[in-house]
Formats: sequence, C-alpha cells, structure tokens
Amino acid sequence: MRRLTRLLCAVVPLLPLLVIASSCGPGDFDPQSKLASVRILASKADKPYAKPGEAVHLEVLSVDGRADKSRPMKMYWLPFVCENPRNDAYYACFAPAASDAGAGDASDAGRGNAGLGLLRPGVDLTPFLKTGPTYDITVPKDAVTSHRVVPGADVAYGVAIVFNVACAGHLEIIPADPSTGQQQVPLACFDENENQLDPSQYVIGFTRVYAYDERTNTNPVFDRFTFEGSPIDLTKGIDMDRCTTDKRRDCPELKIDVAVTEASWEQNPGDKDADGNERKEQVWAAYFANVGQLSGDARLLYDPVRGKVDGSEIKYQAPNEAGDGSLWIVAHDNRGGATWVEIPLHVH
Amino acid sequence: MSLAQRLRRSFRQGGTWALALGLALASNSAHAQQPKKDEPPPQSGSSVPRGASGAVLVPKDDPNAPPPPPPPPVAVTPPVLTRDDGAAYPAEMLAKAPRETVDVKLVLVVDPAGKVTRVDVEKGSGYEPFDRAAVEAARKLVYEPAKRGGSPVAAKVRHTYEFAPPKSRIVGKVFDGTSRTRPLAQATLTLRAAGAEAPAAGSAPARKVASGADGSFRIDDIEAGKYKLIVTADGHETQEYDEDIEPGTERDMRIDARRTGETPKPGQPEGPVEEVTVKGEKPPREVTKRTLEQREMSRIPGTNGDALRSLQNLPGVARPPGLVGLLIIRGSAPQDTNVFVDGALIPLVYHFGGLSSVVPTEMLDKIDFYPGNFSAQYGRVMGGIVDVGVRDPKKDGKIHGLAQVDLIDARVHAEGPVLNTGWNFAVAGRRSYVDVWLKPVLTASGAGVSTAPVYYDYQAILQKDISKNQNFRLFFFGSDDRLDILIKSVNASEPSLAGGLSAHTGFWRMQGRYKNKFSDETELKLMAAVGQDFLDFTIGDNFFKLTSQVITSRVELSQKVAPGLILNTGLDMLYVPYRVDVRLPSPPRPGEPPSGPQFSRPPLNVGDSDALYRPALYSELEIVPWKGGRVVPGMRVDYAKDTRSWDLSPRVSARQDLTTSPRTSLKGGIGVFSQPPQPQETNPVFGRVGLVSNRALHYGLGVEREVNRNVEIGVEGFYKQLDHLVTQSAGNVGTGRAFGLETLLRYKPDERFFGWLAYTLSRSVRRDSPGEPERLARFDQTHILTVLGSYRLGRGWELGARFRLVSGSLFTPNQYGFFDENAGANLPLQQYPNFGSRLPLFHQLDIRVDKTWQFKQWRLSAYLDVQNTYNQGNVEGVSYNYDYTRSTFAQGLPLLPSLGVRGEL
Repeated sequence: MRRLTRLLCAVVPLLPLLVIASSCGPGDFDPQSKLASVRILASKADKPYAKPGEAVHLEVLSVDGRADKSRPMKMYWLPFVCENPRNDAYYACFAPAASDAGAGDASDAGRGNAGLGLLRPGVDLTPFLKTGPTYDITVPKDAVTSHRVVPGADVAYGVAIVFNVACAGHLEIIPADPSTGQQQVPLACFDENENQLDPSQYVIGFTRVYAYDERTNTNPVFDRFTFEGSPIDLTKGIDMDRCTTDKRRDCPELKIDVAVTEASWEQNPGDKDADGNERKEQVWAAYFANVGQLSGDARLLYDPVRGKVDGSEIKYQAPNEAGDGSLWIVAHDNRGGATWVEIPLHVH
Repeated sequence: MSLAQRLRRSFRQGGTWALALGLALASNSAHAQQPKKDEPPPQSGSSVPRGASGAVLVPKDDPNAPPPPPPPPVAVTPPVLTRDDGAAYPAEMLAKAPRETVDVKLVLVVDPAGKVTRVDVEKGSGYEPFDRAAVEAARKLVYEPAKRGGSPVAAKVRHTYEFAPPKSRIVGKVFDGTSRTRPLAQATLTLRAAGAEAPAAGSAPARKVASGADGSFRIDDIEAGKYKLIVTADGHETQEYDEDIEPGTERDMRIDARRTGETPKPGQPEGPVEEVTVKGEKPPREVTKRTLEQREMSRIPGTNGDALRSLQNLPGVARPPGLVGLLIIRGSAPQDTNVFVDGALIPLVYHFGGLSSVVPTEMLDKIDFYPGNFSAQYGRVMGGIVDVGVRDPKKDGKIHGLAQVDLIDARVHAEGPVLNTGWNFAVAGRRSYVDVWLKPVLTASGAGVSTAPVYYDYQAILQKDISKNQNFRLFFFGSDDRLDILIKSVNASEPSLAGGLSAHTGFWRMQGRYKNKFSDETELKLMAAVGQDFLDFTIGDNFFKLTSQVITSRVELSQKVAPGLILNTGLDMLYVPYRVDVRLPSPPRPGEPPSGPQFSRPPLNVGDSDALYRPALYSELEIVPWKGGRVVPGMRVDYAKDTRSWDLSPRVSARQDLTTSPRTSLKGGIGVFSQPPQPQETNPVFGRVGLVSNRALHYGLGVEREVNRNVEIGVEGFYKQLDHLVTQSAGNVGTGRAFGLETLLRYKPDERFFGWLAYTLSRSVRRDSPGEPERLARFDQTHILTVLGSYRLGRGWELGARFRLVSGSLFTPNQYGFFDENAGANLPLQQYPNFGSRLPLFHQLDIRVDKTWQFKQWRLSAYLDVQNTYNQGNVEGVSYNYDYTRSTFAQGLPLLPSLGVRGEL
C-alpha cells in the first residue's frame, strides 16, 4: 500500500486534483489536529461580514498544548486595523510604504499599521498590546469606498485585517529578512532572557473582516454531536477506555460526528454556477485533540453543489494512557464564519 | 554524371513516318494560294492534306459540278528539328520509377517561324509526370519551319520522347570476418541478373569488381532489377546476396566476408547489413529538425511505447517532474511550445496531463521536433514546435487489425481498403483502465467516487491517392478525459480544495488534407480542420468552464522560381469562437506569494463570449547559392485580434556543407518569434488589457557530421533573448534569457539497433519586472543526459535500456509564517525570489524487453517495460508538515513494471 501511495503521489502532479484525495502529505509528521504546542485554532467575528462603520467583536480560540507550561501562553492583539492592503494580501500590511509598489500595480499598503515599521528591533511591545481572547474593532467607514475596484468582483467590498499573537513570552520587533521578500514577519516571541522562541512557543495569526454595504453572513450553528452514533452531552464530555494495544493502528476507531443546522448552510450571493444558478456556502468542521489521535484534520459538512455530505464522521483512537483531555471542533464556512466547541475527553 | 545526364533522352523525329499531318489551314489555304511558278512541285510522299483514312481532302462545293482539274503539284517540305534540349526525368518518379522505358507520343504544331505553338499528347506514358515533362520539353523545341512552295507555313508533326529508368549504383565496403574493423582488399564482387546462374546468351554479362585496399568497392550504371551479388575472397566463404535495385538509387553495403569456418558472433546478423540511401535528400528548412521514426517512438524504454513521451529524450528537452507530460524545450515554459497533428493545433497532448498521448503510436508515421529557430510556417509560440505526422492507412489491399492491452489502457485498430474504391481507411480507439485501480484507492482515502478518472481517444482516417501527385485525406480524431469525485477530507492548508471535484477535458478535430505536386516546380499543400475544445473543471464553489470551436487552416504554395531558388508562401489561420464561465480566486502575480487559501479573497467571476482570430501570412525563400550551401530567409506576419496587434517575425537560417563524404555541415540561424498572450492574461478580470505579444530572439549555431550512414553527431549552441514577457496583471514587463549547448550522438535505426546519447547544458532565467531580481526559470535544468538504445537479439526478442542523469528540479522553500484564522490554515513564508533551490540529482535506469511471435496470419507481441529498475528514490518535491516547521523530500516513482500484449493481423 505504501508503494502504491508513493506511486500515486508521483502520478498526481498530473492530476492536481487528486493531490487532495490521495493523502500524499507527509506520513511521519504530526497532523494539524494534534495539539502539542502553542496554537491558535480559529477566530470568529460576531459579524463575519460587516457594514462600514459597524463595530465588530472578535474572539480567538487558542490552546496551549505544551507539556511544559512554566512560561504561560498569552494572547496579544496588535493595536491596529489594517485596511485594504494591496491585493488584499495580509503581508502587505507590514510592507514599508516606499517598497510597496511592487510589480506594476502600485497602491498603498494597508492603512493603519500603527507605524510598526518605525519601531526598532529589541523593543518589548507588550506594554502597547491588548491581551486576552477578544478584541473589538470598528470597520472604517470608507472600508468599501477606499478599496480599489476589483474587476470581476460581483459587488464592491473592503477588508479589515487584525493581527494577534499567541506567545509564551513577550513580543519584539525583528529585522526584515531579505530571503522572504514581500512576506515579512515583523515580530517574534522572546523569553525573559531575550532568546527568540521557536515556533512551538508562538503563533502569529490574523483574521479578516470583510465589509459590504449590503451583504451579510452569520456564523455556523452546531446542531448535534455524536460519539459512536450516540449524542454527546457537552457538559459531561466523552468517556472512553484507553487503548491497550501497543500498535496504534490496532487501537479501536471511534466515530465522532458533528452537524450544523440546515440554516447554517446559507445562500452565497454572487456564487452562481455557469448556468446562473445561485449556490450556497461550503461548510466544514476541523477537529483538534490534545490526547489520542484523529484520523484526519477536517471533514466536509456541506458542499456548494452537492449539499449535505453523508459520512462526514471522523475517527478517533484513544490514547494508551488514562487521563483527561479535550476535543475541539471548529465549524467554518467559506465566507469567514466560524464557531467552535470544546468537548472534554475522559480516558479510563 | 548527374542524374539528368544519366537519363537516356531520345526522340524520333517524324520525318519519314510522321510526315506533316497537315499544314495549317491545309485545304483552304491550299486552294486559296495559287502556286507560283518558281515553286517546286510537291514531293512524292510529302504531306498533303489527308483525311483520317489518308485520302486527300477535297472541298466539295458543288456535288453536281464536274470535278475540277487537279491542282498543279506544290513542293512541300516538312519541318526539320534544329534544337532539342531533351526532357528531364521527373524527380518525383525516382522513388516509384517504372523499371521499363516509357515513351510519350506528342503532336506538335510548328508555326511558320519554327516555334512550337501547341503540344498535344497523342499517346501518354501512363504516368502523368512523364507526360508533363515531355510536353514541357517539346515547347522548347526549335524547327526549321515547313515550307510549301518555298514559303514557311505552319505544320503539324509527331514527336516522341523516351524516358529510360535512371541507372543505379552499389557502393560499400568489405570487411575481413565479422570484425567490422579490418577492411578486406581484393575481394571479388560479381553482380549478375537474378536467375542467370551463368551468363546466358543474350543476357547482360555479369560484372565484376574488386574491393580496394580499404575494402571499398563501387559498381556503376546498374539498370533497375533483381540481382545476385556474389562475394568471393581467398580464405573466405563465398557469400551471395539478393539485391532488388530500384532505379536511380545508391545502395550502400557493408559486407562481412566470413572466414572459412567462422560463425557469426552472438547478436550479430547472419547476413550483411544493407543500408539503402537515395542521395540528394533535401535538407530541412530549419536549423534543427529532429525526427523520430516509428520504431524509436514505440521502443524507447520507460515510455511504455508512448510516442510523444519519447520526445523527452531528445536534447534540449527538460525532464518534467514525475509522469507529468510537459514539453519543456530550451528553458521555455510548457505553454511556449505548440503541438500539431499533421499541421492542426491540438490543445492537449496527454491524457490527464501525462498518462499517455492523445494519439496512439500506431497511428503515427513520425514526429518532427523543432527546438528553436523554426521555419516561418510556424508561429504564435516562442519555444518549440512538435509536428506529429499521422501515417496513411496501409495500401496493400489487405485488412489489418491490432488489439493491445496494458495496465493503463486497451486499444484496437483496423485499416485497409474500402472495397475497390481506391479509398483506404483506418479506425482506432482506446479506453483507459485507470479507473479500475484508482477507484479503490480514492475510496479508501475517504473520497466518494462517481466517475473515477477515465480517458478515451479515437481516430478515423479516409485516404485516397487521387493521382500520383495528388493525395487527399480526411482525419477525424479526438480525446476525452473525465472524473467526478467528492472529497470529504478537507486539506488543512487549503480547505477550499474539498467537496465536489469534477473535470472533463477533451477535444475533437475533423481535418482535411490535400497535396498536389503540379510539377517539379510547383507544389500545393492544403490543410483545414474544424473541431471543438472543452474544459470543464469544478472544485467546491470554484469552476472553470470553457467551450470553444476551433477552425484552423494552412495553405502553402511552393514554387521553384529559378534553379536553386524555391519560394514557399503560406497562410496560417486560427479562428476560435469561445464561451468561458469562470469563478476563481485571483491568482498571485509571478514572484508574489499567495495572500492565503483560495477563498481568503472574494472569488472573481467571468462570463464571456468572444473569438480568437489569429491569421498569419508567411513567405520563405530556399536558396542554394552554391554547392553545399543553403540559406532560408523568411518573414512571418501575424495578427492577433485579442490584442489588436501585428507581429513581424523575420527569420533566417543557413547551412553549409564543409565536407561531403562524410558530410559535415555548419548551420545557424537567427529569428524573431512572437507569442500572443494567453487568453487569461488579456482578460480584464484575471489579467490586463492592452498587452502585446511576448517576444523571443533565437540565435543558433551548430555543426553536424554524418560519421557514416547510421551514425551522426551534432553539437549546437543556442541563445534566446526574451522580452515583452507578460507578467500576470502587470503587463509586458518581464524579460529573460535561455542559453545552452546541445549534443547528440545518434545511431539511426537499422535492422538491429537504434540509440543515442543526448546531453544538454543550459540555463534559463527570468526577470518578472524591471525592479525584481533575475531568478532561475521554473523549469531550468542545468544538466540533462540521456543514453538509450534498443537491440534486436533475434528470434523476436528485443532489449532496450535508457539511463537518465538530470539536475534536480527547482523548488521554492517554505518556512514557518502566519496562521490564517478564517481558514484555519498555516501560511508559509516563501523564499524570495522563487525557485531558488534545487532538488537532488535525478538518475534512473529503465529497461524494456519485447518479444514477438510471428504466425502465418498474425503476430503476437508482448513487452515488459520496467521503470526505475534499481528503485532509486528520486526526489520530485518537498513535503511539509501543517505549519511548515518540518519538511521531507517527496519521492517519485518506485520500481514500476508495466506489461503489455499486442496482437496484429
């Protein structure tokens, strides 16, 4: 089977689509669903699509999956809203204005980067940053009108980008790295001894809030959760026996499934097929666990064309050790909507 | 002596038998003109007007009137031929010349000035070229005019041209034993007509020559026919060879004179290796034209006998990653090369981008490959040209069939005559088996499969030789690939690439082709094709749907305007009405990192109907200014309606033979090559309006040498200067260069072996815009070495091997970056500039074994093609973990055997 997979992986470049289906990813790496480091899993806005001038409440889901939590993880928010960066590219929010022109299509960098580029490396940014899982912004009133006209976009829009950092230390500005061109990471996480921490200790995230004059979107709403076909009581969580075999692949596979309400599968105005029929959103659920092992990272719940997907469950293998842990399920739609739930896991 | 001089030209004047059939205005003039006193009386037997039976024609004004007195006799002298340059043996008849002498009987009208004013064929030869040559020659005859009573008058005469088949020649070398290294002097070679075991009375005597000190021999002035060549030498066995000599050919033989008691070495043919060449083959119009023949196409190891995949083994062609079927020529992007099937552009070369060619090898005659500096007849691209030649159905009057099954697909093929209509047909079809083994794999990976990947292709030909110079063919062919699956597992780094996934790509063409060689000087080639292309691709809420009707035509007229000067003029038309509906995210510009997963930006929508209209005119002169020299200047004018721009593309190529035996040629060329932007590049949504064509300036200089009839070696340097390159959404701001050196040592197919060693050293760089640094082009490969060969062992066995050693592909390293919270995906920081790192060296050995069983009525063959025989873990890419903090090399094909079985009638 391994040889077959290798063969398939060699063939799939000709079938780019099959890359997705053929599980050609690295076989020995920890999956995204395994939480063993500082992680941001998702963020959500109370209004994924906001009107210009509206206040938006942002919330981020971060998890400290490290075994050693002696230096606690904190959630920082960079104190600016980056409005309409060039080509809507998040990295353009940090581009120096002088070099932002890039190739041809010059426009300004995202407005409101709070002069990050003016700060010198070595400065501890912590005193200037808001901390905590939530952040409130106001979408600029000219968010839509100041966005350049995009040919092919069905309606005018604007975008506001907010950056946050989960860091087990403090944040400092770092010098530009010429090897990454336009994609500059302007800051990093340092410990109390001014040592730059490795990626397991920090995550720099960003969330986009799209602004439309009329268009709206709501976050998905969970409908039900099942474990081996039975409903899950979210207050009690899931009880299961530990896996007693030495080989992980021989551990029993337990089915976990989630559903969102039918109403969560909203119309997607502007998404019309070649025949002009309007279609709906794509909705999927991402799974994370800090104990045990999941069979994948995410499962499709609704497809814009085929509707509700049957057999969307994911398989879970309990750990060999007894103890408690958590399972996080994040439901996304493809218009920036999200919701999540944390389910306790009790392994006996 | 030239071929024309060797022709035996003769004529018989009509003096005695072909007396003047009549004088112009014979009867009336005869009566109107009164004889003058000093006119001589008519000579007995001289021409007077006569009817069909030979009776004298008499006007019958009044049937009741008494017969008039006979006119006084008038002296009439027939015309006398004073100049005849003879009729040239038609060149096009050399290949199919009749072995007997043919003659053409003409009736000429000679005016009072002695000029031939009219030529009628009284009795043709049965071969139109001979008749035409005779008529053309007769028009140049000069006569002393016929005289009547001493005054010049018009007259009719008969005139006959004879065409004797041109003589042939046998040359060669005799070797001592089977060494192939020691020439054998003083061997006696006796040539005598087949069946004449001893010289018979009246038959041509046997001719004897002796081999020289270097073993060489030569027998000239051989009439076409069947012969027996007997080789005798002291201490050597007497060897006899049956030779069927065609007219006007030179047969080049190598003869191994076996010593008495010596046996052939294993794998060595038991007879002589005979090699037939017809001298004087016209060199190509291009600096470099590489032609793959059927046997090479179907037998190269590691290709599963796939014709177009065999191209990837030629110099100047880079190795695409994995099994991808991209044609990357001299550092150009794949879209910079066009592939034609008999002159008709096709949109797809391979099923599913690389599994197998859309036209099966059995249908092909040859593949012509032009890696650069190509003729003005081709345009709209600045990379290379591949022109696939489809063969005519077999014309032996029998029905032939073929069925083949391998692990990828199954195919059938039939061809033969259409009753006794003179038409011939061929039909073929193929269906893949990929779905059979891929469906379980996809299902196991969690995908719902409606249609597992499957492909078809089909071909049908109707062909007729209208005359010896006219050929008409209808060719219908097409291809269809489709899949339809539901991906339930969402990819962490690209969530939008999930859900319903369907793809349907294909095309069909109906092509008509007509060729007419009006004369030695004039030839017309016509090709027209209509068809449809379709590309329908959906994933999640993104889709791309394109349907286009394609109309292409080519007309080329070749006219020899003077000795050593041929003018080729042509029209190359492309008209493509299309409908496209697209919903896709905006692609990043070259060198610009993506701004996130697909749906991180609102997708763009395009619904558009328009037409691509790209006519072109070209003209080219083939000049032979002196012996061994050849210069081909040309000009091509292209118009592109989508950019509303004209492109002028002047080109010139030249070659000069430095030595003739063996032939060594110096060749070179320079030219402008323009390529209109891709449709998406000029689209106002995904691209930019106001673009003009990409442009390349090709320089090429090389030398090639035919070491002997089988072995040739060539070295060629190339340099391409690229400008006006379209950078996505930024305009014609890109520039680039590609340069390198190509070497090819080739053993052309003979009865036993073919193979070559190809090495390319090259570099290809791009600058996306003036402010950006120069970077390596995506498909740059510094070293490309390919060594391959295939040998017929005897008893139906053939063994081949291919070894490739190639620089690793380029890639762009990623590192830990940001986390996109809307998508739940980590986004990497990409190294800048892109494609700055190279994967490890690629090397692979492929082996192919064929076995053929010949039965009375049919033939069965099987092959085993083993790719990556020593299971080298070649690196084809880099895999990362979800946050790009860890990476590993992704390996390519493991050892992969492929088995096929074929039956042929």
